Amino acid sequence: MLICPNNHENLGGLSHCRVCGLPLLDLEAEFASLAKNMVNRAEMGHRAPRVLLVGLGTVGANLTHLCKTGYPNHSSEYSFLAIDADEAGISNGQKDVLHSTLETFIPTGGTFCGIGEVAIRSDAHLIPVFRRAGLNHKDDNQAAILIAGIGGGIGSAASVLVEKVRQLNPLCHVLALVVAPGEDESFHNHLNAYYALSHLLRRDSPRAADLTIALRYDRIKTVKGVGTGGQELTVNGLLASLSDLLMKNLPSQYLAEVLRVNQSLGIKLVIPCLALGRSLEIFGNLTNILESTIVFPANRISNQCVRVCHLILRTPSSQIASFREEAVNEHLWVFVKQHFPNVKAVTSYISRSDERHDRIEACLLLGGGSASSAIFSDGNSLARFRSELEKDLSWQTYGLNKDVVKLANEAIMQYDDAMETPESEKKVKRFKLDKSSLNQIRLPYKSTEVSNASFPQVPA
Amino acid sequence: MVNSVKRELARAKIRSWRDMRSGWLVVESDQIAIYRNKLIGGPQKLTQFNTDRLAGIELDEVKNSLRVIFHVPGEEPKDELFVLQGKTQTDTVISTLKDLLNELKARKKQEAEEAERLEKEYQEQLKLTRERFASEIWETSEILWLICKSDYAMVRAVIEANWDEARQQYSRIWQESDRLKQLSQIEITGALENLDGAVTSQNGQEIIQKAGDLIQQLSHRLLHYETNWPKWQNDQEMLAAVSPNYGHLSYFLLFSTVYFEMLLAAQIEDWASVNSTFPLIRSCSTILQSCFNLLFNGSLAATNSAIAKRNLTLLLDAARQIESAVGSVFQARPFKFETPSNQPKE
Repeated sequence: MLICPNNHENLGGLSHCRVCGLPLLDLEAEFASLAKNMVNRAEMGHRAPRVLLVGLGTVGANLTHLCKTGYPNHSSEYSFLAIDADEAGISNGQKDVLHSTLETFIPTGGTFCGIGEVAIRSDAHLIPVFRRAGLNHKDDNQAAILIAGIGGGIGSAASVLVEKVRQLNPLCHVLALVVAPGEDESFHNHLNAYYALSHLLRRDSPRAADLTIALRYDRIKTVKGVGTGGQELTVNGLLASLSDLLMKNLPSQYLAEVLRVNQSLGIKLVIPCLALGRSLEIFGNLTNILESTIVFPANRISNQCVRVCHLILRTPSSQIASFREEAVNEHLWVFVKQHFPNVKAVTSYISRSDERHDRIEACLLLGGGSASSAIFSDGNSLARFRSELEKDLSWQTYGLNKDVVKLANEAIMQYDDAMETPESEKKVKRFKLDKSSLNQIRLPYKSTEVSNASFPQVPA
Repeated sequence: MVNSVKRELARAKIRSWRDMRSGWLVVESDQIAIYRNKLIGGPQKLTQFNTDRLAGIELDEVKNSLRVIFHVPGEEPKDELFVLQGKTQTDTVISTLKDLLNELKARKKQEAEEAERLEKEYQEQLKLTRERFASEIWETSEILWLICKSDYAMVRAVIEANWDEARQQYSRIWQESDRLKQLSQIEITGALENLDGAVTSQNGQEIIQKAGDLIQQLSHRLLHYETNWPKWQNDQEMLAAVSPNYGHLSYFLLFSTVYFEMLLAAQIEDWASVNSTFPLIRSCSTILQSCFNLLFNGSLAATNSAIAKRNLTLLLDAARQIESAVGSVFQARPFKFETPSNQPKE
């Protein structure tokens, strides 16, 4: 029996009162539902995490889980979010918190970049999920690391997430850790990656990431690494380990400096070179470890192209004596001079872990390479791809149109042109890197301590 | 009765009444009695008519008969036909009956005037009581609206880590709930105390949860009448058909809650929640239009359109219109009294 606002009794199942015609509402149920809405929103009241790791697409979502479960010593400083297409047919809506990792499913996924982009852009749940993950207000101490396999339809929409993150916290540093498809993958995978990278690198665009760290799938397979338990890392393990390293070893002050250096040289894309789990007993010293990073870089980059080199180093506290700031910088100086003749700036950050083993994690982020070389294995592959682009393809299938493709192509070419003849380089023609100047430009970081050392001022 | 002491006013000999050929008509101050002559034992009273029921007299001079008309309220008028002995006796009776009729009319007029005066006084008092009652319902509604507004504003401030604003809104909730307690004895101190700890410790998650609990507790108090309205205890029957009423308060609270829920959801770009709230806003608005005379005009259509376009600017414009309508109705505080059967059917 339902009572209307005028106290008329009505049989259940009616929507309006049979006497006065007013709507019949189950007040208790309505209030309970509103209270539930509020409770669902409670996570938005969390203290803001320092780093938000967002996995987009199947690759990204899996890596987020792996990072969360494989490296469990996380504090409230870190927040995890996995976003994937709803392949299981679950109706849209966010799933409940799973081991503190938020999950959300895009109702309609897509193999192609344009379709994935629309799906991500139009999903009404994403902003609330981001807020629940702790991205709520202006805070320049926050960083969001977006992980995505950009060869996929959903992953290629990473730049849409960049925009959404900026919308919620304009001061947040946004990094994109992207995995480009391997050489043997199909045209549409490369198109997705090409399109994704064009947005992430586009100049003055809200969708451009502050820094894009690009790996290539077939290259990562060649990288060797050892996990915390001493086991050899798989591809996913390597990526999770790298994500963990970036999360925990990029304090906002250091990150801000890295971005400032890159910006001064017009660099938005870096290639990681990894040495994960290198035992000191085997490698002996830092130089050997640094050498091992560039044996199998995670993407294609020519040593001649490298203009900026950032070292992120994590050592066990027990090895502190061997990795003093000055010593590390000395090794780094020698290494950079030997391998990257055109480097303009070098920074380093050293952090300590409480692990008892003697394994060192090192990651070099090398900037200066072109965007196309981050996707294609050589000039021929790129030429083949561009000739395909010229064809009159059915762009609608990809959720794109000719103009959009043209813009994407222009953005990549613009970035590549800038990397080949950067303005900054023209200005610093006479700026010769020697040991004394490198001393100036190194950023010796120790744990969370931030040095006041500044980057070289480009001579007028 | 004007003449409270029974006395005989006139007497006439009856020559014919119904089937009686000889008897007496005796007019007294309170009755008209008919007696039959009997050979043995004197006159016998056959019947009597209450003079209060006297409605008129008609004289038929040709037949020399007198028709006396009696009327009992709610019944058809009845008459009695008399033929009296001689003109003198007839005139006496007629004159007496006319006097009685005039007296009766004057008395009835006086009684009607008195009744009218009393009714007017009663209606005046009733109107004042209803006005005071409705005013109290309006004031309670306004407080409920303000509590909801501050509750949701506090949640928004917490989400944006604006702790000064959160504390300010929390303080407003306290002030309004204090007013509510004084006015309507609606007590939500428990929920407020829980909220207090969370605000002090700046525990955002807990604040949002407790903000939801507060609305839940408030609704529970209203739905289950966990409040007493001592002032109106004796007038409950009289006030039952006043609109807005106690029973309508929970609908006002529901409208306030769902409106601010929609606004918050839109501000934090939770469009899925915004979409889900609008049907409830529409249902509540129909009820509020009927019970609170709250007219939304085009603001709901504008809200719906803004939601469809996911346009926050348009939605905030529409929300301003809604709040303006609510503000106006709080100023005017209209109310009506109607029995349920008079209520319009949609």
